[in-house]
Amino acid sequence: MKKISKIHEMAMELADKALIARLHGDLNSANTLTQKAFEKEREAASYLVDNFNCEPTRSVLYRSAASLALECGDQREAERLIGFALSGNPTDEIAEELRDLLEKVNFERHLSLRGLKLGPNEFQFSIWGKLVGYGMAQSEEFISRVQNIERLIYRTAERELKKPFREAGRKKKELEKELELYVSVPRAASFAVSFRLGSSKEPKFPVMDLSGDVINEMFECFDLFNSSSVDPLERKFIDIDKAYYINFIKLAQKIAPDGENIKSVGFTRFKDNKEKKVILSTPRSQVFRPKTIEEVIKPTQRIEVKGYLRYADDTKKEGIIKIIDENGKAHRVKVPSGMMADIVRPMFDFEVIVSGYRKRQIIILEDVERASD
Amino acid sequence: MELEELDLNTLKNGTPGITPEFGSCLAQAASVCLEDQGHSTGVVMKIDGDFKTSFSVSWEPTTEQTRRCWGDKEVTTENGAYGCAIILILRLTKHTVIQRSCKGTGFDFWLGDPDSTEPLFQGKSRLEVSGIRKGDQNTIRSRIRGKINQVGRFNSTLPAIIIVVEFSEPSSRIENR
Repeated sequence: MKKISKIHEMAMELADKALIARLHGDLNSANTLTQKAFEKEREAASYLVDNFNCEPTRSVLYRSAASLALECGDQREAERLIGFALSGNPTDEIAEELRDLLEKVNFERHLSLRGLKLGPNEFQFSIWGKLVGYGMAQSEEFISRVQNIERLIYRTAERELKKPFREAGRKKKELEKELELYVSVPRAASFAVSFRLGSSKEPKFPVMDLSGDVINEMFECFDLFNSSSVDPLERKFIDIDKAYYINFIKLAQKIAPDGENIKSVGFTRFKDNKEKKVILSTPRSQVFRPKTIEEVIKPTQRIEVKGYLRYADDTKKEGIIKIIDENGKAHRVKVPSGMMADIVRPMFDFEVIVSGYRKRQIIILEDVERASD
Repeated sequence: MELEELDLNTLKNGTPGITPEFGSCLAQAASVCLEDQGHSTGVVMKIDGDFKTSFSVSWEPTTEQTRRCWGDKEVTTENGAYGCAIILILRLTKHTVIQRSCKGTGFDFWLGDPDSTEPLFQGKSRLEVSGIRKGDQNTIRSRIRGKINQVGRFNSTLPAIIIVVEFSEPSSRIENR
């Protein structure tokens, strides 16, 4: 057992060094060190392969090795190691964690395109969680995300074209022609569809590859959003209407997993002959809030109101909505720029929970969600 | 009455299961989280739950480089919470971090008696930690409940100490499971 301890300690030291290298932005060293840590941890676990009574050590070492394998992108090895761990006698708790890890492995596998050819103007969108089975997904969870992705695609296109933020009204017909959006039939890969952004045969902006630019930008922004890299994300929106930034954060929050029904949301594309993946795994309740809202209203009182969204006036830059609570009282809510069309309007006539900050007799909207029944 | 000091720099000495380098990382992450919430060294951290006390938390001021390294808010909050939790364990219990294993993209910490002769994870307790950058007492209680419920459905569970660390007040809640 001393030998196993020694090898395990070496694995952990290598994993430490990998973390430190990653913190300093040295991703090549981090990957090499993680690979070495994985090999050592797998070696430590292998000494207990037939020692089924040595629990929880046996299953914890295998789980640790499988986590490192997954971090190295070796899904097959992670799957094999989880199999070894589950074939023993792990406690219920460790067994459940191993099953969660296996689901993660499967999700990573499903994100891979597996022979599916995606063009430069296409990407795949997948979801996984409690309400997703193999080839089946709860319709609301899936459809609402598809609609929000569509909104985000056109907002990103308008931003790329340096258009002022469109607070109200529909997107221009010419943009729809320039950037036609297609969705494939769903595939049983957790649950996945492909989006294709078609370009017009006679492009209005011939010097731009609008579809490619939009997909690049969306992937970059999702990546920064997922890692809570607030400053680099804000910088992407620095030269344009701030409403675009708020709009992006709010739509990304709606697309992000809730952590329970949907645990992961993934995007895959093919670029420079390589698969590029972005996995949104941080639950939406834990992702950051845009500074622009908090800064303006601090330090006023935070408030939450439940009721029906029955009135909306978006004739001004910052619109007003009214929430009618169960006692029939109307609460006036000011909607910051960037939120009315894509975030608030889809909730009209539904029972919602509005959260925000009170400023005199009005609530400044921070978030709005459908109330659960 | 003068409060006892909880020095984050102690983490730099490491423990049987944590190298001094990794201990330094955890101390840095905790310092970044506390400073991000406008605190400076000497701030009072209230401890609640199975232990009721308060400490004056001290640390070395962070540099621009440190803050840049810890730019990922989620990772920093998680590691900062581990830093505070480990130092609370060292101060309030007879345990120390004896072992670690990899879990997800982070680590899983295992507690034991420093003189324990049982190898690896045998006879050890788990340290379950949750970090909140900015929240209130309700958020902390709900995180603790979540952690307890998460494992309450299993027939065989491992002994554990659950710690939720909140950086804005700052405060921590500790519960034995």
